[in-house]
Amino acid sequence: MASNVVIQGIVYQDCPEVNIPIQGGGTARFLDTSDATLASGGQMLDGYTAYSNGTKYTGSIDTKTSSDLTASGDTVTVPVGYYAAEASKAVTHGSATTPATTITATPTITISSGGLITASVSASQSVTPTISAGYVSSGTAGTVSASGSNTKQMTVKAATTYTPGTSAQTIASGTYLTGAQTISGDANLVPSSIVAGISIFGVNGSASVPIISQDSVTKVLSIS
Amino acid sequence: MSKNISLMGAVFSDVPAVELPKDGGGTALFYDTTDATVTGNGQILNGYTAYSNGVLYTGSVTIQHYYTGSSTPSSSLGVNGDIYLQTSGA
Repeated sequence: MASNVVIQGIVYQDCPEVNIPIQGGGTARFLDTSDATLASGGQMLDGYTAYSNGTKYTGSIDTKTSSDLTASGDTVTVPVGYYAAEASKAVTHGSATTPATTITATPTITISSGGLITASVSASQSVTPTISAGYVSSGTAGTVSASGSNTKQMTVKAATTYTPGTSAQTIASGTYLTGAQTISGDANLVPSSIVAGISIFGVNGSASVPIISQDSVTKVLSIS
Repeated sequence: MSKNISLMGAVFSDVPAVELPKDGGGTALFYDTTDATVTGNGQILNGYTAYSNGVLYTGSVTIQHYYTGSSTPSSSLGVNGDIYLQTSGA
């Protein structure tokens, strides 16, 4: 700041300071500090002093480092203070995915009675909060966690009984069976019930069938 | 700080400041700041100024807040450079 001062009737314009000889030699400089805006010691680092608007202030902002950060469980506490450099604290039990981090983990897969497949994953990772240089005013840190799942509904088939016929019957691959699938059997599927020379499902017939013929002249019916 | 100064043949001891009348009325106080210990802008918070050893310093220490929450923070929370720690959720 500069002031227009009057000394012995003479006006001196824009004087920012007054220089007066010191007893024994040298010059003492006296400054107009009225333009300085510092208003408390809380606006200056601990260990320093300065003048502002006619008052001498002593700084009171503590300087902190990483060693001042504390962790309890998943909570990191960052004390108020000045951090001249980045400070960090590892969180032992932190679990998270951060926007810039991908965590790979083996999922747990379950299949419900209705054929719903669910893949779930819960990942964990240590988190190291960091603080850039500056004065931290207040606050309490915490942890980050992430989990997720995905599902797929399978094609299901309830309990069914199949009667063998002349064409094959197929259950599509990938079908989740929610009930017993029963292929019917028949006690008559034996060689004696199948005409000799015929095979049904691998069972070769052995039953004899009468051969009937009629003479075209005599009209005699022969059964052998 | 104070100085023993010599003015017009007279010695004045332990003078911390000089008060002079201002043109137009009032007085202006001039202080000896040689005992102040600030040596850089990085020792004073941004937005403040102070004198130390004859020099006017302009503070440059930035204030950063940090916040916690369990969900995505509001865009109106804090300012650039602040820190947000999400404590749960995706």
